[in-house]
Amino acid sequence: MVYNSINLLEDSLQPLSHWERIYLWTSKTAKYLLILAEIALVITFLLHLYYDNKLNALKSRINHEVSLLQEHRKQESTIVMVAKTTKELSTLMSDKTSAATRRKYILSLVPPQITLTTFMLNFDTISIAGTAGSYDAIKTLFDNFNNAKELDKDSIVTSTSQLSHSNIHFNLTCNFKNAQSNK
Amino acid sequence: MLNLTNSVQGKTISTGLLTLLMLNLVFWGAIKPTISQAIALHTQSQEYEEVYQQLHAKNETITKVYEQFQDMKPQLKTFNYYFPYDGDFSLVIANLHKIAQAYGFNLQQISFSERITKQIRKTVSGKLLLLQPTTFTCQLKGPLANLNSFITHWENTPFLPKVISITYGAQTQTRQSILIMFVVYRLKYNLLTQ
Repeated sequence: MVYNSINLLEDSLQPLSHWERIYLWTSKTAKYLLILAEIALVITFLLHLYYDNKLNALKSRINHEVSLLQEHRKQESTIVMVAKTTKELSTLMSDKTSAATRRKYILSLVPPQITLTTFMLNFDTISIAGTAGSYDAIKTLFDNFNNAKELDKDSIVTSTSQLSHSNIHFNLTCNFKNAQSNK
Repeated sequence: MLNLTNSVQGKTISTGLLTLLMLNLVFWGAIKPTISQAIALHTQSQEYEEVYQQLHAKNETITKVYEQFQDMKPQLKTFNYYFPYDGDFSLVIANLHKIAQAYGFNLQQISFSERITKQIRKTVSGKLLLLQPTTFTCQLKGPLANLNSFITHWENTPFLPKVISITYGAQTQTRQSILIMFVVYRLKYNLLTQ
């Protein structure tokens, strides 16, 4: 009599050899590693898609802003022009050199014994001429100019001529220290 | 000789090798390039984001400042009075005349020129880009004692005149003849029609 039977026992229940256990571990590990790799692949692909979409959205937003900027170009140039103009005006306002102050300063250096016949202030250059009753008065004048803090000592040019015994004529030219015209 | 197909040992080694090969292929051929590209896209998106933010901020600033400009137009209108872009200096001359009179001076002669001399070029006036310096030469007759007060007053007017030259001769009478040169400015562009 022949008995047919089904073996319901798993192989693993059978005693395994050393290499069989390694083989089982390797195949299982390989399976999970490949699944993991595929999951990673899917994630990176989705990431790629996400950034791709984000980039496209940003590109269209940038294009929109650029077109707006082109529309604003005229307004921008107006604003820039107004800003530059006000800056130039504030530069002019910050220039504190005053011809009146300079004239006052120069006149304060002239002793009372001297009579001015010519006064000329041209930019940073001052030129005066006059007469005096004595050389002492002229010496005081030249000393005052030489010691004046706001004047460039090296630029002082003087000349005198005696018209009569008590009438001496002089000329004096010099520059203010921040003189630019003669540089 | 090792039998790679039939023995368990062979199957283990071949499965292991095949897995390694597959992992390498998947990693180097798919995962790594995709990650690199994703990183590159991320960096690029950050740069784009920055550009977008800057452009957006610029557009917003322009809109806001332009609104302010529109609100300030009446005040800016005065720019055209004090610095007439069309070169109409009648307001300057009228004011000069009035101030001179207040200090006892008569305005006898006046002329102006837009020629920028070498000396003007070296001053602040010569370095302006949007304002055109115009040199006025005027002859006044009046008391020398009031000259400083007159010049100080004139230089403090909103026309921002800059007196560059004062010339006078011997004082022979109470009313001295004085030659004064000053620079005033006109706008090169009409700001209101922009």
